[in-house]
Amino acid sequence: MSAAALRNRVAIVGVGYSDVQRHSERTVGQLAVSACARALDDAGLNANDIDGVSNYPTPSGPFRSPIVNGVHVVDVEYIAQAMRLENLNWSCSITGGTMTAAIVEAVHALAAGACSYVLVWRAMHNPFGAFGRVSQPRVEGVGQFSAPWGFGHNVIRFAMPYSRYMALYGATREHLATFIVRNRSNAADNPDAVFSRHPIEADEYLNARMIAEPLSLLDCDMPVDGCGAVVLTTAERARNLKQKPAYVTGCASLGLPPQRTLGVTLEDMMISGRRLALALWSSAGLSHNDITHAHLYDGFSYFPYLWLECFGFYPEGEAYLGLQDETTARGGTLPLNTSGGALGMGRLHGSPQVVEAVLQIQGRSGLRQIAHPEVALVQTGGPAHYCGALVLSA
Amino acid sequence: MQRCRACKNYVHPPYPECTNCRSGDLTFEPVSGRGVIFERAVVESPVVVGFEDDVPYACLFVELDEQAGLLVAGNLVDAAPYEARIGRPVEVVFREESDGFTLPAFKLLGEGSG
Repeated sequence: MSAAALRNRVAIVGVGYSDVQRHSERTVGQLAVSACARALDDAGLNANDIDGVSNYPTPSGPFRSPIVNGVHVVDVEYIAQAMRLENLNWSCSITGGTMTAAIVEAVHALAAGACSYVLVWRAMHNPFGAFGRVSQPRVEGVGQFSAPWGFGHNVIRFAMPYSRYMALYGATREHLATFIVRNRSNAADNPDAVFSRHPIEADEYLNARMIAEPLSLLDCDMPVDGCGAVVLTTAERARNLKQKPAYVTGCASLGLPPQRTLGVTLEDMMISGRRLALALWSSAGLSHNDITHAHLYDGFSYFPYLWLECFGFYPEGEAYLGLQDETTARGGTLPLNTSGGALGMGRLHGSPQVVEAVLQIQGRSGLRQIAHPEVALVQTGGPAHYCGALVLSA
Repeated sequence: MQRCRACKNYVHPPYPECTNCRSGDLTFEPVSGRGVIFERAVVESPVVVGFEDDVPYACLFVELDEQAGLLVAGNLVDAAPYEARIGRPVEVVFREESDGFTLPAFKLLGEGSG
């Protein structure tokens, strides 16, 4: 089966969020069940209809304690049992790429006839204490070649390539402030966002506490307890359900990096990003010119620069300039991250991109609704190979 | 640095096979210790356990002169951390740490400091 044979064969037919808070009194397992139940209800389905599950279970940060299913992570086994999915024929647990990559596998399984209705979720837990600040008395593997110099934190890891982007192209934190402020103003209009009704001004961003320059606190999505979920089915079945389907016109994910590296470099990110873009456009039979809105992963603030360039919207090194005008505002020709993205909604690993694209296509984005939601680009994860992307269409 | 005897490619971090030609015939050879700052971060918040008293400090990936894309990690020493700018030439120095280990670090070269 060629990539083209998958076009519009499968659709997203239901979406749902749990309550999303910085720290919840409920376990992340309970939150995931709540998100999945809401997505099923949204589609007009029940647990007995679900015969497939697909998930990215990996925790987003190092934890102090042993990892407990339902407390720190929520994998396919947990949901199968907590929701009593008695009719499962297919399950999938992916290694990287967050929610879109889990959806890509669901599309393959549905198009191949392995199952009829698939539930996909991404559940996130925020432990108490400073995120990712975990004692490592011993470091093994590739980490031993950077940890002795105090590299041991994800913010440092991803500050490195941004420093290179800024130096090569002349981008400044003032440039990025435009995107940050717009993202937070979208989140302010989003009742599901952790920063709902909390817009910020550029000054607040520019004065934010620096973690690892050039990345400040407000360049990182806020860790949360929460979950987003979606339901997929075949196009034929989708037409008889409650909501207008959001068809999967194209899908792609990269799987794993081809080489072990010391850390993340800008060049690595661009190589993998361009590969993902090529695979996605080939799958969809479209180009960036066909896209009417984009939802790009912003777990670290500057990632959308790289994705906008990899997908062809701007030449390499120019996205930071392109973001200065109104093109990517809600009234522009390429509305970007209208949900507020991860920076505005919280660290939900893909739901802020996927769910919002579906709501826009269905005309259910409320205050954030754009005029032309026909064709969405959705990308989550990475960059640097752990990434996936979709084209969703009305 | 680890180096392939077959194709002369340097490999870092070390690996059981050459990342260029897949040969298993690898050795370790001295290098010049000179290169340029490829990427860097200046850590200002005490986010790494054990390095709380060191902030602010500059984390560097240095591209060694021996081979394009051959990166090593280290800190900048003998200069303020914000002197670590992309493209500046640096040279290795070896520092004995308080716990008896010796670690490589980098100092700036040229522009009056070399």
